[in-house]
This record gives sequence, structure tokens and C-alpha cells, in this order.
Amino acid sequence: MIKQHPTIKSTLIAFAYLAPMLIITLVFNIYPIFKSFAMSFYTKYDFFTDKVSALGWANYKFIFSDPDFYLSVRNTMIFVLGVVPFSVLLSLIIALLLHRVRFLAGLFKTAYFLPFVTSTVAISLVWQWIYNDQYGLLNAFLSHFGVHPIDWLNDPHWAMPALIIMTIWKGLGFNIILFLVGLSNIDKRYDQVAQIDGANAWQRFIHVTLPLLSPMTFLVSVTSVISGFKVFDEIFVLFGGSPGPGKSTLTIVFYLYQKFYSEWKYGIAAASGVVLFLLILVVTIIQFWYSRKHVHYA
Amino acid sequence: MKTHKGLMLLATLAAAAGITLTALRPAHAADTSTNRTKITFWSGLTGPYQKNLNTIVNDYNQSQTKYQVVATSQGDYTQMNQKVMAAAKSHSLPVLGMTTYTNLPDYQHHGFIDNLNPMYKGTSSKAKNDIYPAFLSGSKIGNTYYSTPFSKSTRIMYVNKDILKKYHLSIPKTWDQLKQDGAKLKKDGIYAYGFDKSFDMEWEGMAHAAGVTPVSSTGKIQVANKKSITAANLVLDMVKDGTAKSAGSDNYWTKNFVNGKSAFYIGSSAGLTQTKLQAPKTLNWTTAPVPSYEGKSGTEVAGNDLVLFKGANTKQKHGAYDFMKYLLKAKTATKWAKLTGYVPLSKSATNSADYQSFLKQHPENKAAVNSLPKAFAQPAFTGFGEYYNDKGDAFNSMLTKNTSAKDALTKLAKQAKQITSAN
Amino acid sequence: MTKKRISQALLIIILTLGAITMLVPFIWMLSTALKTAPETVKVPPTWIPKHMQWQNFVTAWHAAPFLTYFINSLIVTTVTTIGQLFTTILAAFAFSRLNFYGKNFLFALFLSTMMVPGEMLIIPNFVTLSKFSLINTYGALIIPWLASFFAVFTLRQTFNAIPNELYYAAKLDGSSDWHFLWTMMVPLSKSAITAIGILEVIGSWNSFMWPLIVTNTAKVRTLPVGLNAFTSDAGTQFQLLMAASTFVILPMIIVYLCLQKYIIAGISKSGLKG
Repeated sequence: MIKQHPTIKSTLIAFAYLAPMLIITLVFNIYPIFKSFAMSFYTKYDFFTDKVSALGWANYKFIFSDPDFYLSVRNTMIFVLGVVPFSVLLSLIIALLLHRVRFLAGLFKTAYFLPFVTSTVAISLVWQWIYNDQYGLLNAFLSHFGVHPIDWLNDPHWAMPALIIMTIWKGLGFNIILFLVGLSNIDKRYDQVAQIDGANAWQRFIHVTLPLLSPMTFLVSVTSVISGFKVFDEIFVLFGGSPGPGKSTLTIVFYLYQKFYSEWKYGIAAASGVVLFLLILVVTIIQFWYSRKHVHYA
Repeated sequence: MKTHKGLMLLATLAAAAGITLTALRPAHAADTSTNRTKITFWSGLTGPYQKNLNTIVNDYNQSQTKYQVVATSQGDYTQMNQKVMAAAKSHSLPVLGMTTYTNLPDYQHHGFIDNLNPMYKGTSSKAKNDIYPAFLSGSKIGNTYYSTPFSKSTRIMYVNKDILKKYHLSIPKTWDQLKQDGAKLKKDGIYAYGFDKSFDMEWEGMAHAAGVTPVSSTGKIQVANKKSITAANLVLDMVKDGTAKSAGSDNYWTKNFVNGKSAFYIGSSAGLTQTKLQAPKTLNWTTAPVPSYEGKSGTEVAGNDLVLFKGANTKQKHGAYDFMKYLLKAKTATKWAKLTGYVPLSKSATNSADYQSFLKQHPENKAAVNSLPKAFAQPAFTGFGEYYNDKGDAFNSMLTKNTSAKDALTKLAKQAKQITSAN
Repeated sequence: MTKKRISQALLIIILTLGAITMLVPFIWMLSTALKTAPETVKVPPTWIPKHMQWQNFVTAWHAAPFLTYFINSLIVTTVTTIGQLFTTILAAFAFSRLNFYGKNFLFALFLSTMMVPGEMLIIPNFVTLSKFSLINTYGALIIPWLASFFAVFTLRQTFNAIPNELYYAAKLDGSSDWHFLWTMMVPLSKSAITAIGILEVIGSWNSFMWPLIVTNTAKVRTLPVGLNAFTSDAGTQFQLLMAASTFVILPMIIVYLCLQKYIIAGISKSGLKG
């Protein structure tokens, strides 16, 4: 990073670079955020004419006394904790292997990337069939190991694991590609120097590759956490528009969706959106705080 | 070399900007129609169903010269609903739209739709009486009309004749018989009764037969009534002893039915098309009316109505009325029913020679039509969307978490009370 | 040498097992696309269809105006990707190399836009686009997606990895920021830019809900919307849906295969020396 103090001139130049991005973001991201934030305080509101007749905290009071909302927060947390660590670790391992393999590398990369290329809607339908309790592929496979058939999608205990497995599978390609970029950005000379110094493969991985890869690991973790908190499409398709058996996959966004689009409770939906936003914000701030100590830029 | 690359990139970007500018021009359809009033119509139909709708719309456009109906598919019902909300907010709703009749009170409450009294006023009482009462009652809020029935279906029972023959069974006329058949089929791992994700519509049917309306339009709540609980327990007991089964995440039992997993399947008559497609040629199957409960039949109707969105001008409104009347005509209703497998909307459509000869060729469509005179529509009320979600949760919890019918329905009754009193 | 060979063989075995897991759903998708309707729901399922139903692809293609959809997807995806790369490169450069007032605030503000679920944005953005009369145009499909903070974030990480010495050297040579960005930073970050581009192409290509909401007619709709043609309120025609999914996915696989070599080629090979 350039350690120079900002001046008015440098600020103007920077904003010229930022302008295209800034304009679009202000109009299509920031403005809706403020709108939603305001809407979360509307307690009496005509959606059609956009007339607000009363303001207050009632929407927040409602969600914080709604057991379904607590359930959705809990389910979202479980989902994020189930997906992110495994997904990051697995994709890191696969990316490292792919980086080393010399034979058929292109073919392997394509195979691992394929799930990400697919539309969520189409592939979730395929997974529905894979998870079928009677003739699904997964149970047929597990039966070779003496596992009794599991009703993945209709048993409240298994619905969340089923969702987590599918999400990891679908998202791996995305993370792998980012790690591959990270790996290709590492200057091979660092590794060569370490080798000359007599470091073995494991030492080189721990002391050279991993630290140099840490900016990308950080990026992958942050974005995985954020997209994990926002999970919705997969649930909607996998469980046929319902929040899973016994609401076991009712997440915050699903809660928001139901309140907004089928229960006409705009204020409550907006309030739950604001809470989700704050939740993600806190987790991301923690990640940034942690990264200050542990992420190394070359 | 490096500057060269940079320049190339810039050139590409400039080209891209050019494309963007050309692409941004509104893609206006070439307006071929001269001075016809354009009636935009959003449907929640997709694929072959939308194609059939276009056939009917073309018929209408050719039948007169004043109006031009333009029907476009807006995805399935959930997608369409999101779209309607967005369009309502930006005041860009079409003239006509399709929606489930249960949405009417919410649409009306939030000021999305106009009433159709002027249109119905221009309809003779004879023509009104011709429409099946279950459909017409769904079109009303209080005494005001807000929709016309359109793509309608009823609950029917799909019957696997091969299983019937093998186990010497006859088509059950009552729920008790259905239950008894279950005992005979159980030992071979065949279910007597397969249902969709939930059996709430059958529950409502049984309750109706027993004289109970779970939530009435005036806000009287009998969800956790003794009779309602008994009806739910009948099915739950069957599920527990392995004679009935939910389709669960498959949503529809059709797949299991065509594979001989159950002797009977109670589902929507709209599923006939899928069943015909999916059933192997070797399978012998037919349909029958839903079994009776406590000596009475209770077949619920479902499906979509047409509504007139707010914001249309007088000319457009008149066009909309004209088109809606056209759809209700026996001839149009017959053609629509034949094309899609939805049920005819009026008695005269059912009795037309055209439709009767269609039934001869497609006997499996008979059960739905025969159930129509005694069919009923569940009353809708403001906040129905919320009640619908809560109902889904209640039945899901009975089926997946073994919550007792009493507990689940008592909770649902409480929620229903809150919803109806809040609005 | 043999030790290296063994480790390579082991690597290939592990990767093959993983690859199979990743591919099984696609094999099933293809197999279903070639079945008759009754065979798709047959128990137990068959892997190789009894009679290959190649005409399913033809039927599916004609079930919706797929040619129009395809051309629209091509236009929307190309313009969105190029436009987004442009805004991304500029913004990432500002965040990585320039110093300005409010930098941290702006970074945090942009980052926070990632934290809002898309379901919240649909209605306000629809209203905005409608005010500009952009509903039912390509503009509605493209403009809101011209800025992606995720892309900026990713590219900034890569830009940050480029040694400062290069920047100082260029500055000493009298090179402008603009020149330095396009002649040094961009070529050096080829792999990251390609990756971001691919991710954007895929995201834009598969986008489903948004195109459906902001378009009213087939003239401006894109490929995934066509997948709707095979589902109804009474079930799904799986064989046709899977056939259609196949031709929605195929172009993406081709794009990926064409571009993947750029992802592998990073700084270490092409960069610092040249």
C-alpha cells in the first residue's frame, strides 16, 4: 500500500476511478438499503400508495417475540457453521491438489467447476432425486456400508445436513477457482528459495504457501459467510417451496420471503432484513479484525 | 507492445459501450394493431398451458375488432405473485391478471384490484346460475364480485386398477372402506392412500362433509373443533399404521402412483395430464370421486381466477369485461377444458355435445366433472396468505414431527384467530 | 523420481474419486434427458435409457422461444460482463493504489452492500427501473449488475499482491496512473480478471428470478426463464426440463474450457519477467 497522505487532488482522481461503480451501487444497492431500513419502522403503511401513517418499533418487537424468527436465526447459524469451514477447507485441499497434478489437469478442473456452472433450480431438482428415501442414489450408496435408508428431505433431523451437503457440492467450484487464482499469483521464487534453504514440502506449505495464500483464504471465508447467511434459492427448490420438514430449514431470508411475499407484512420483513444485515456485519467485522493479525500481503 | 494491449482493451470497451447503448433502447413490439384497445393480461401459466391460453386469446382477438388481448406468461404462481407486488408498487400493473381465488381478499385489502360488479350486472341471472356455485362463491368477497373463475380443478381419486384386480378390491366409496383396503394391501408394502405433500385439502373436505368450516369468511374458527380433529386423526392413523403415505418433498404423489406404490391417490384433477404422461402403457388406471365422509361428499375446488387490476382506463375495463364474458361462454369454456384438462366452468359447458363426446374419449376426466355439483370452495379472508403458511406448518409438523392433531390444530386455531382479528 | 510418480498417481486417484462425485448429477441429468416420461419415474431408476429419446432435445427446444432467449442471454451476458469488468478494474485500482479521503468508509459501505439479501432489493429496484422506463428492456437486465463489490474485493486482493516497487518505478518513469493500470496491473492480473469474468458470465447467464421479474415478454427474456416451460402446478416434465437444462449449461462449459488456461497462467509465468 502506498503510504501517502490523501490530498484533495488525489481524492478527486480516485473518485473519477470509482465513479462508474459508485453510481450504480448508490442507485441499486445503497438506496434500497435505506428504503428497507426506513420500511422496518413503518407500522401502518399502504404499500400500494406508499403512504405511511404510523412509525415505531412494533416490527422489531414482533420479530423478537416470534419463536419462528429465533428458529430462523438458529437454523441460519447452523447452516453457516456447517457449510463455511468444510467448504473452505475442502476447496483449499482440492485447489492444492489441482495445482500439483500434471496429468489431465484441465479435465479435473472442469469436473470440479461444473456444479457451479449449473443453474441452481435445475440442479436442486436432481438432488431431490438423489436424496429420495426409497430409490435415491445416496441411500443406495450408503446401504453398501450397512446404513439404513435415511429420509433426507422429510426427516427434520436430516433436512439440514442434506441442504448443507448440496450447498457445499454446488459452491466448491467457485472457491476452488479463487484459490487457484491465489496459488497462481504466488511467485514461484519464494518456494524455490525455501527449497534451497532445505525446507521440506510440508514446511514450505506451512511457511510459504499458506501465508502467501492468506489474502485469498480471507476473501473466500468472508464471501462464503456472507452468502451462507443469505441462503434461500436452494431451500426453496429442494423442499418444494416450504421451509423444510418441521421448519428445520427455515432460514432468515426464508422468513423474510414468507413475510414479504405471502403474508403482506412488509415492515416485519424489512425488520428481519435489517437484523440479518447487522448479524452479517458483526460477523464480517470480527473476520476483518482477525485478518489484521493473520493475513499477510506480499 | 504493452500500450498496444491497453489500446486493444480500450477499443473493446468502447465497442461494449456501443452495444450497451443500442441494447438499452426499449424493445418495443412493432404495433401492428391499429386502433384497438390493448388489454394486457399476465398469466401464471407456463409451457403447454400458456400455448393453450394463447389459442383461446387468438380466438377472442379474431372474434371482434375493438379489443386486442395480449397474454404473457409471468412464470408460475409464486413468481407471478412477486411480480404483481413489484408492479403494484411502481403502478405498472397490467389490465388483467391470474391469481388463486384465495388471494382475492388480500389483493382487495391492499387495493390492487377493482371490483367486477359492473361486469356481473351485465350478466343475466340465468348465465350466473349456469356457473358452478363453488366457483362463483370463490369470486366474491361479501356480496361484491372481484374475479371470474378460469383454470379450475377439483380433488379426485386416482385408482390403480391392476392392484384392485389383484387384491379383489372395489373402488372405495367411503373413507372407512379406504381404511379397510389399507389393511389388505399393507402386508405387500402397498399403501392404500397416497397423498401430496400434505393432506390439508382432504382434511378440509372431510370437515366440510361433517358440517365444519375451519375458518369461515366471517371469522368463525373451527380449526380445532372436535370434528376437525377426528378428521385429521383418521388420516394420521393411516399414516402411522403404514396404510397411507405423504409424497413429502416430491410434492405430488403422481410418481409413486404410476409406479404402483399405492392403490389410490387423492389429488388435483389438474394432475391428470401429468399422470397420463408418466404412466407406463401397461398400467391400468382410472379415476373416481373422492370417498365420502360421514355419508357426505366433500370435494374441494382449487385453481385460478381472473382479476381486474387497478389503474385500467374505462375503455380497457370494458374490454376486460368483454373478454371475461367471452371466457365464461359455454363454447369457450368447453374448448379451454378440452385443451387443458381443467374442468368446465358452467353446467352448459359440461352438458354440451362437444364436451360429452370428449368425456367418452377420455373417461378418466369424468370423475372431476361429476364431483362439480357438490364441490365447495374454502372461504378466503384477508390474511389468507399467512393462514396458508401456518396451515402448511401445522400439517407438516403432524407428518414429520409426530405432533398430535390436537396440538397442531389448536395452535393453528390460535394463529387463525389472531389473523382474522387483526384484519 | 519414482517417489514423485507414486505421489502423482495417488493424486490422480483422489482427484478422480472426487471428480466422479461432482459429475454424478450431470450424468443423471443427461440420462434423464434421453428417457421417455414413464422411464424418468421408474423404480429402480435406470442409468442407460432403454431407447434413447434424442427427440426430447428437439421437443424441449421448441417448447419455448429458445433461440430468442439464447440470443438475449448472449447479449445480456456479454454486455454485463464487459461493463462490470470495466467498473471493477477502475474501482479495484482506486482501492489498491490510490489514497483518498473516505477510503475506508467507502470500502465498508460497498462491503455492506453484499450483506443485503437479494429478495429485499427486488421491489425498490423494480420501482427505480420503472421510473426510468427501463422495465422490459435489456437495460433492466444489465444496468443493476454493472457493479459487483465481490469482484472489486477479489481484484483488490490481487492488485495488492503486485509489488509496490513496480508502481514507484513506473511513476519515476513518468507513467500516469491510467497508463500504469492498463499496461501493468491489468496484464499482471490476467488470471484474476479472467476468473472474475468467468464468475460474472456464469452468474449473469444463470440469473433466473430477476430477468423474469423485470421482463414481460419473450422478446427480452433470457435462457433460464425458458426452464419454466416444463414445470406446472401439477408436476414437472423431467425429461424435457433436463434436456433444456443441458443446453442452458453447455455454453457455460464451453466458455469455461476456452478461458481456463488463462486462470492457470498467473504472475509466475507471464508476469514479472516480461
